[in-house]
Amino acid sequence: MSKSSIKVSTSSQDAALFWLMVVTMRPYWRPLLAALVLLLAMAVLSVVPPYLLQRAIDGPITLGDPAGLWPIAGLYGGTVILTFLLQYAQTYYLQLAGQRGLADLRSRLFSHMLRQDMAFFGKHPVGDLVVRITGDVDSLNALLSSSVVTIITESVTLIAVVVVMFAVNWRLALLSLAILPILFFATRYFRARIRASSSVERNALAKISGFLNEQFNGMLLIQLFGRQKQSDEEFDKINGDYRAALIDLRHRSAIFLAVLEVLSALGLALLLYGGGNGVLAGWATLGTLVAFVQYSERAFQPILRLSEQYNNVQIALAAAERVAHMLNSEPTILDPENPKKIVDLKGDIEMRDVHFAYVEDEPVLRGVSLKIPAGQNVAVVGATGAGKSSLASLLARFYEPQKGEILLDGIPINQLEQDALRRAVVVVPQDPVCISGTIAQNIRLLRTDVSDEQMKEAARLSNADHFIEQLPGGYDFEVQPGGANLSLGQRQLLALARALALCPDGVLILDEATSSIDTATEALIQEALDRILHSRTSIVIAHRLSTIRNADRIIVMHQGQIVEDGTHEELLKLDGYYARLHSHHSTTSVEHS
Amino acid sequence: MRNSNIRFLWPYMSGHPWWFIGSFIYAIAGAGASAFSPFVLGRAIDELSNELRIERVAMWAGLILFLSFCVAVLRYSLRMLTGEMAAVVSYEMSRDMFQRILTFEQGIIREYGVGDLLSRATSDFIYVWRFFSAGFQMFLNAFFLFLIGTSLMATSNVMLAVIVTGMLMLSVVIQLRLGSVLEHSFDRVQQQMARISAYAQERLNVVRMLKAYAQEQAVSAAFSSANDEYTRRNLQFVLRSGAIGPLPGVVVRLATTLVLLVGGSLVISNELSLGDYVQFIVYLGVLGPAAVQMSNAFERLQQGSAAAGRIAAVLRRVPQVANRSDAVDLPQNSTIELKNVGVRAGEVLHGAWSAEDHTPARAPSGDSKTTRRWILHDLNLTIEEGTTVGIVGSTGSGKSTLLGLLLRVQDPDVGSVTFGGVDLRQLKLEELRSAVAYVPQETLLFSMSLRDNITLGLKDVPDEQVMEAMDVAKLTNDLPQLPHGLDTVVGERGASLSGGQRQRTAIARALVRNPRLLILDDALASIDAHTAAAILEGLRSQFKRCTCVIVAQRMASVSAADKIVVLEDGRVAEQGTHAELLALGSRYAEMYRREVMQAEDSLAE
Repeated sequence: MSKSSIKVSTSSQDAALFWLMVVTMRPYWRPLLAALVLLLAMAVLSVVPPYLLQRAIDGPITLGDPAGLWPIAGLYGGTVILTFLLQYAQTYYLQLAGQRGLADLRSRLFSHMLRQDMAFFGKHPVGDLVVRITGDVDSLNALLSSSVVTIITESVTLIAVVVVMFAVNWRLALLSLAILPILFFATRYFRARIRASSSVERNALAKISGFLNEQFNGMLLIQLFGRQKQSDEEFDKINGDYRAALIDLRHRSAIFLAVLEVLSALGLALLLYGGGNGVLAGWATLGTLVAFVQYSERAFQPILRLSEQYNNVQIALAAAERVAHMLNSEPTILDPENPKKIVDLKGDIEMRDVHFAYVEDEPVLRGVSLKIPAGQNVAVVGATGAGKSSLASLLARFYEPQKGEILLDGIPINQLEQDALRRAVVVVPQDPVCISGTIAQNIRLLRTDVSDEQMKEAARLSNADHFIEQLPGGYDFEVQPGGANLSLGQRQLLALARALALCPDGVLILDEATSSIDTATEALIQEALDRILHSRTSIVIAHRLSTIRNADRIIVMHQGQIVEDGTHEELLKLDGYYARLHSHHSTTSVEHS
Repeated sequence: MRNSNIRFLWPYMSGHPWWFIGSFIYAIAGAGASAFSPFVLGRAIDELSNELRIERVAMWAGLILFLSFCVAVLRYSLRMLTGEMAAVVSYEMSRDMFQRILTFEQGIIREYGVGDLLSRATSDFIYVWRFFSAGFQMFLNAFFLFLIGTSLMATSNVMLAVIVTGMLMLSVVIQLRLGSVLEHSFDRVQQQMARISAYAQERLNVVRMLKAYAQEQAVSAAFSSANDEYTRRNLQFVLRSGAIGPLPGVVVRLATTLVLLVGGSLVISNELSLGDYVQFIVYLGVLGPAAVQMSNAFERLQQGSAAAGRIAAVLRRVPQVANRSDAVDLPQNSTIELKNVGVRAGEVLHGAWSAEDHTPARAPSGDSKTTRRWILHDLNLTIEEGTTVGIVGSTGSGKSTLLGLLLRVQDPDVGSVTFGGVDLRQLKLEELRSAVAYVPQETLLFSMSLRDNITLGLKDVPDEQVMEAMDVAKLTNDLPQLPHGLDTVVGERGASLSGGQRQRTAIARALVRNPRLLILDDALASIDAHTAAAILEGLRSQFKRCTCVIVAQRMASVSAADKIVVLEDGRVAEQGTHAELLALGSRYAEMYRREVMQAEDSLAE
């Protein structure tokens, strides 16, 4: 369900909906057109039955000709069957077009989202994105397959009925339609009241489900800390609000239905009395009068049905605006038109005066210049917020620097295709993620060019094979969403294996975990890192002394700048930030033990 | 099955006889008035065809108006009465369900899952609401309309009435039969939708990793094929329902065709008046929708009773951890003893009350009792009053389950846990709860003010007492950062606190109730070593009588404890003071050695 409140549509929403539908449905215009034609035929056909009834009464029945009834009844039955067939054909074409068009839209939305840069994902919570793909597209589907159909059918029916009524007998037509304006305004008035009440009801329900969600998740605490009574009282209150909202909504719609009942009877009484006069005076026949009783019912229906669509259309409008808005956002990080190719990746990295900020006026990197020759192992240290992780993100081009250049093997990385770049430079983040699927799928993802042997070799190199082989099913063990059935350390090993399998000889950028991992796994990770890093260019955002000691070179970052750069010994001699960090650390760990 | 579900609703309705009497009266009177309307129309037509005076027609028209007014009032009353019924029953059931869930131990909550409970507590109640408001109401209305309508038709012409009734019955049967076919097809659509949505959610959550490995296109393609499957199923469903859905209406219209033909002949042969003829046709216009209503009503009643069954399952569930009738007061002494304690993995995958103890490698493959592994086995342990006991051990060694026993969120399968010599199961649960405070691994803050989060479950706690607890928890210094101090709303929808601040809030929450037993479940992980040490020190000096049990990943967090317990495979492998265990030179010593190495290695900021 869309959580947005129902607002009155604006022209920008209308335009968004219109263009979205046009663009989405254009490939399917043929079945759509067929559906429309069938729809019109159905609507016109719906005025036929009362007309046949009139003919039967004024014709064979009045004339006492039983044989004359057969063709009329035959036509009547034929109309029923034909309407059914037309309706089915209409459903078929419309659904064919609608379902396919919306499936396209859904796929397009999803791949569009994946194409966006990381800044986009910072701004849009995943929950919202999923609603765009599911709920919002479904509202458009509802609009197309139900609202649009209803609106077209009912409008055409209304017009057809009115035209036929006037053609058959204008006086009776006026009589039957006299009630229509009142019905129209009454409907508008009551619908608005019902809508208001129904939004109160929805909010009350949302409140209940929000409250219960929190309570259920925190049930242990509520019990341990003895908060049951207060929770119960709170729930009683919102539950009572919900009950009141339901009853109010019920009241409003029951009143509306009662008013409708009386209004349509008023129409019938009017028609009967006026038409009865007409029959006696000779300007109407009994058959016409009976037919008009049915016509006027058919004229009332569309008004009710149309008014029911208001909500759906509003929901669809809001959904369309959100979807269109999403499709309009273009990633700022794009592939170049004439990408350069990396031939024989060496792994030279260079940054030239790189400036970067996530938010304007809050610089994270302030003029970073750095040259890392192929094969060098670099450790980056610095306080939180010094810009270490941003450095890693920029190298994989998750973000674009505002100023400066980053080069890989002498080629600016923005002149490479992103896919090519990311096969050459891989970033393993601090918090390793998993997808639901087998261990093997978690290592090789969807890459078909990674063989089972390569995958297992990567697991072996990264020391992940120990725990994998102990899992039931080994590489076929099913990982739960979010890696819930693996420990943090296991996920970290898996992330390393993934990096090795998918990027066996590229540049490795590793954000070491700060969180506590159990000691045995930690040792495995360290051992694997020692083995992996030495065969390639690597940058490790280090939280451990051993990583730094093993590095060829250490870079110290402070407030977005490189303040120190050299080997362990050189930096100690420098007696600057690094030396202080090192000595401070040594004293704390002494205190510790 | 279904009857038993409905029987379950009975206690909520039995106290309100008027609901039944009233709704039957309204339904019968309303249906009668509404069924008479075509009858009156028929008489008017007869008058007209006999060319009587117009005054008579005016009278009939007036009568139609009067009848419809009665119908309007009666239907309104019926709707409001069934609405009240629906609202009151779902309100009371919902209240009972929440109260019941408040008594559930974690095992039951885990077994259902929060998502499942939530859906029972929200969408299932929508079905219960519809059971009465739509199902019951429509059923009564349609049923009596049908009954009175066909009787009135039969007074005009029995044969025609039989034809019409037969066709209408046919239409109801068709709907009910084919409805279940559609239901299955619709379920398949829903399942695939859930799959798509879960797929999108999961991949978007890890988008950074996918981008890092240039997986965007492959993932898009995988999504598209899941999406195509959804479209295929959905098309299958809509095409089926497109064929099946209109059938009842078609049957009713074919019945009209028959009436047109047969009735017309009867009018010609003077066996039926023109008014009766028109009346029949109008009846079909009224009873056709009534037939549709009836089958809708069946569907609502069915869904509603299924939902009531799901709710009933929760309401029937009796928690294991509950007050015994002969429960006794808490003894003065708070020494805790575990004797020969054994706990088996639960029948569900997450056997323990906490997920932490669940290691996939040993997930029980068979659910039968014989194969359920022991999480804790033959465990003996004494925790003396006023001491600090540290518990360490690798993942899956049973630490969290042990805590669960101390907190009595779980009872042991074998053996006993005693508090001051009395089995926990014999103690008054509320008293035990108020004496034991718990700081979990992951802090959950409710969307309420910081004060309410700290005083959770307590009433009228003076601010000084809150501040005192915050002092010991080293949270006081963070207060100026919060825009409204103690009144700042925190939690998911409030001010965001750092991991350390959250944990310290949880510690303050535990301390403010001046507990006799304090349990810290790896609760110092997000707090730096200095602060953690200061907190523990403050704890010891200000809460002297308080027994303190600390579960920790790091040995450093428990090294000062009076006793350290090393768990391994659900048993106590070693216990003693830090020095004793180091001297022992076994598991603890080894873990400690590795930790010190890592600590020296770590570049703590």
